[in-house]
Parts: sequence; C-alpha cells; structure tokens
Amino acid sequence: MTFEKVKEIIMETLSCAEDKITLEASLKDDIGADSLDAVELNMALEEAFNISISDEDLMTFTTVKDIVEYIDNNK
Amino acid sequence: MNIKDVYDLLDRFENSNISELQLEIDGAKLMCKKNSEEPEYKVVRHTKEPEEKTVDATNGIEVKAKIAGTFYRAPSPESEPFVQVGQKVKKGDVIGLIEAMKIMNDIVAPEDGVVSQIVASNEELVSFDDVLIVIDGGK
Amino acid sequence: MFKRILIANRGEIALRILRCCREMEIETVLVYSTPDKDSLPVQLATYPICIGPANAAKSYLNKDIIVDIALKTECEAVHPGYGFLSENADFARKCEENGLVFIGPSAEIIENMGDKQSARKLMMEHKVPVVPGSRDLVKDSKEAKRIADEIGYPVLIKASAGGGGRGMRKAFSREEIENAFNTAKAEAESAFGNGDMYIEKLILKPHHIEFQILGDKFGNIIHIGERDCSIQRRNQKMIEESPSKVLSEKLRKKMGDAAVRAAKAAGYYSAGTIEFVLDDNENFYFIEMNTRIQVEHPVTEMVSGIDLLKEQIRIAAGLKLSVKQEDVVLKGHAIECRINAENPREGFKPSPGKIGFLHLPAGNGVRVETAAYSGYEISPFYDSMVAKIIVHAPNRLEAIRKMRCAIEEFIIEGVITNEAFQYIIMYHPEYIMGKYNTGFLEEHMEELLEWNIENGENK
Repeated sequence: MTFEKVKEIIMETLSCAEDKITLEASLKDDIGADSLDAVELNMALEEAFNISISDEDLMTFTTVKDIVEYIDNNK
Repeated sequence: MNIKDVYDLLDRFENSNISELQLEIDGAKLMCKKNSEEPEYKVVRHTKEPEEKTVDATNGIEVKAKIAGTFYRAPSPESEPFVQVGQKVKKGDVIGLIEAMKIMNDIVAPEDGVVSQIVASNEELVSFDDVLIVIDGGK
Repeated sequence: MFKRILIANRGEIALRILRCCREMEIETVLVYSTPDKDSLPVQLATYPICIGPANAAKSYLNKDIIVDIALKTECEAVHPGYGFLSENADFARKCEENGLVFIGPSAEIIENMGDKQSARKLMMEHKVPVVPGSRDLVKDSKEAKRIADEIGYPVLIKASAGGGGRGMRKAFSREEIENAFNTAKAEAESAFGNGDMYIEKLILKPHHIEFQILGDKFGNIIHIGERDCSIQRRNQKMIEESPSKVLSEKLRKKMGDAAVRAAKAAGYYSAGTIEFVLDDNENFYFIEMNTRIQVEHPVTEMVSGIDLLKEQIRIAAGLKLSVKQEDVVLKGHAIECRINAENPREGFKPSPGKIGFLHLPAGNGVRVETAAYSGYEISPFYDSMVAKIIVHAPNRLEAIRKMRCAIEEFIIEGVITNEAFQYIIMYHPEYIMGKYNTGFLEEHMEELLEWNIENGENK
C-alpha cells in the first residue's frame, strides 16, 4: 500500500518517529522537514517508486496525503 | 579445431606449468614452447635489496652519484680499482665510473685529499644522490 | 605472469599499483625523485631507486633512465600509472623496443587516439557520434552562416590556434553569427597571429559522462558502466560518481555500445576510458579516449567489484579478460571526492606543507586511497591531490550521506585542503537532485564558498 511504503521512506530518510506520520501530518510543521529534508525525501521517493518528481510538483506537497496521492496518480 | 579452441588451449597452456607442447589434430600441427629460460639482459646483478650503509663523512667531502646506474671501482673487470682507502687523490682525478644508459660517466675527485671511505661496492646499482666515496679534505 | 615490474609513478597511484603487485606476488622496482625519498610507496617497494631531482623532466619524465633501470633490475614490464608518461607514445615504444611490456595499449594506439583529429575521423567511420562541426577551416562569415545552418544553433566559433577561451565566440542565432565570427577571427589574429577558424555545435549545460573500457590482446572488449565527472573546476575533476543519475537504462545501453564500438575501432586493449559530452535531450558526442587507468577508477571498482589494476596487469601478461560483458553487474552507487592540498578561498592555490596529525575515515563502504601519513611532507613540485575518499552504498542518497560522514571524520592538520568545500557540495540541493552539469561549480562558487565560512574552516 503506497501509504505504508511512503511512511517507511519518511521514517528512514527524515529519521522521525512512526506515530508522527499520519496522512494529514504536515511535512513542515508536524514532521519538521526543512528544505534540505524535502530535497532528500524527494530523491528517496523517486528512487523507491522509480518515478521522477519535478521541482514544481515537489513544492505542492504539504501533507503526507499529497505525496501518497501524487504517487498513486503517477505510478 | 577452430581458432577459438586454439586460444583456449593457449590460455590453459599458459596457466599450466608444462613448458612445451606439440599437437597434431586433423591435419593441423601446433607447437608451443614457453620461453622458460631467464630473459637474457645485460649482466644479471641487481636483484638483491640495497642494504643500509653508514657513511662517516665527519670532516670529509661526500662524492655523490649524479645519475642512477651501475657503479664501477675499476676501468674494467680485470684491472685495478681507481682508488683504495687511504690513497691520496688530486682534484679532477677519476676515482670511479657509473654506467647509465650504456654510457660510462667518470666520477672525479672534487678536491685534493685522501680517500677515507668507499661506500658503494663494485658493480652495485646506485641511486641518484647516493654517497659513493668520501674524501677527507687536505686542509 | 610477471615476476617483477617497474612502477614509473608516485603518490597514491604508485601505492595502488604496488599493493596490487604484492597481492599478485610480483616484485616492484619503484623509481622516485629526491623529494619523494620518504614517501610511503618508496618505503614499501621491493627495490626503490632514486633516478633524479624534483624536476619531473629529470626524474619521472626521464624516459631513458627509467628504461635503463628497468633493464638493469630485470623487470619484465613497466606500469606508468596516470599522468607523467602514461600517454607518452615514445615511452611506450621505447619499452616495446627494449623487450619491456608497457602496461597499457600499444604506442601506436596511444598515438592514434592522442591525435584529436584522427581520433575524430576514426569515430565518424565507426558511427560513434562526434560533436557536429566544420570539417575544415571556415573562410569567412558567409561560409560560417552556411555551416551554422547545417549544424544548427547555438554554435561555437573557435580559433584552431586558440586556447583558454581566447579567439572564441558563441552564436545563438543567424543574426549573431556574422559579428561573432568576425570578432573571434580578429581576436585570434591579434592574439595568436593565426586566424584559422573552426565552427562546432555548442552543447548547452553539458554533462561529462565517461565509460570505463577493458580490453585484452585477443580482441575481447567490454565496458564497465559510466562515471559522471561533471563536478569539475576549470576541467579539473573534483567529484566523480557511478552510475550517473541523468542516464536512463536505454541511454546507458546506447552509450555503452558506442563506447565499445569506439574502443574496437581503435583496436584497444588494457584499461581505457571513452569520454562523451551529453546534452539535456539525450544527445551524446565522443570527446576523446584516455588510453590509461584514471584517477577515478575506484568508483567503477566499487560498483562492479572488478579490480581494474589487476585486470590491466593480467592483460599485459597476455591473459584473457576474466569477465565477459554479461558478467558485468553494477550494484549500488559509488562517489569519489578528491581531497587536494589547496585553498578554495584563495582561488584554490596549492598549499603544500608538512602533515601534522592525520586521521583517515573508514568503516562499511568507505575506501580511502592515499599515500599520506602523519608527518609526511607534501611536496610543492607535483600534483596537489592528497587523498581520494570513495564511498559505496545501496543507493545514491545513502552514498551521499556516507560521504558526509566520511569527510566529517577525515582530519588532516598542518595543510589546508578543499575538504570543507567538498563537504558543502554534499549538502547542495542541486547536487543531491543529481541534475547538475559541468557548469555547476562555476554557477554556485560564491554560494559554496560562503557556506564554507559560516560553519567553520577545516572543521
């Protein structure tokens, strides 16, 4: 399930606690991802799902849900 | 027996320790021989590790090699060495030779003086800047 | 197999060759210059022999003395490493004539591939794409316009005698071509007294992608994937990595095949590298072939598991490649950072000196190639590279993170290096995204130097 995999990647790449990562969680506020984390997360997602995420799309992600939906639409 | 088999055979022969192989198959003759004997270069000499040398040049002048090559104490294998320890030498006297790139280079005494130590041994492969001979200055 | 070989090089590559020889139970004769007498390779070689003073022309580049020493010490082969005599056809020929095996391709191959024009013609004959350009000299701006239309804009107009950017002009459209051609020609005539002009396609945002080639004397030739060397400063490589993020699997296959075709065209054997320039819409063009082992070879070794130095020596000894193309499997991601004794904030001026305390990083997937040790004196006479840090990890992001930790752990006192500068690049978003090209360093130089100050000098 995409959400499970995305959660795993966020945990590993941003080294944050599992319970913080819910669909509604905001990447910036709840998970505390700064701009560098965002770039690295983007890289990790690209590699894990074998897709490429343009910079513009990257900007649109504010919550975990945005990421999951983006991946499901672009898989 | 096509060319590929020949290559495989050669490869296996190369890695084996047999030194000679003769083969005749459906009309094709193959003879392989390893050049097992040592590749003949000029005089075989420089295989032992250079040992550490102690140079005592307290009040002497160190005569150093200006080039890397084979150091000779005498003009030819049969003749007497140019100098012995304790021998007096004058500035410009030839006190040894270094053969490098098939050219014999004279080693000359930089000053008048007495030979106090002959550091390099005959027919030794010396490095650039190695101390060859020490001469106690006359002063 | 060889019993004894002569190593005609110094520093980290001499040590790399020496270690390989020890593993293969081959004795080593190492020629060196007086300032290198305390170097690590000299201490570890079976027979170290000083052949001259610091001046490379009288030592590391002295072909005659090197061959003479090789014969005197009964060496069967000579390994030139990289730089110095490694691509000197005369030296290779001199070895061949004296019955010494030159560990590299033949003198003839070095000559052919060394001559840019003949290499270019050879590539065109074998359908290896080359940078589109005017075959011969361009007389005037009218002809320039015709050729530019053929090649397609943008174009680069350059003086055949040109160099360092002099006598060179870019033209992005037909309106610009006339003026650009005339000014470039005038500048060339005044600067070099030679107004011969060429035109070639201008590659925008070029990536420097090179393919590692391995060939034996039986005609087997394979490639071992690519290295992206686009992080470079004034054509000096700083960081290399494999695989390259900008290559799709399809493009990798196409470029790899072209690289092998190029090497076959040259009848190549030993280790070599085919250099391409790649633009942003998957067009690639042959630039040149390096007929030697390269500084950045460990990157390929880490992702392929193939010991390129060992293969080079096996090939020179007349053995077949131990690997077929289908056996080549590239795993994970490897990055190399070159650590140079230079000061980034003084225009990367070399900063030789005596090393105080030295600590090298290590651990899982971290490899350091260096001849430096605590107390070693880095001499001002030669190349300023002190060490190479190479990391290998399952994917690129982990490799980048591993490199950050490795550099953090690297301590070298008494000498200023580019270590902090390399460290900062590992945090630059554009580098992390992997979409950088050869313009990256120039574009972000100020920014990188600024960051460099904020979080302290040599950490």
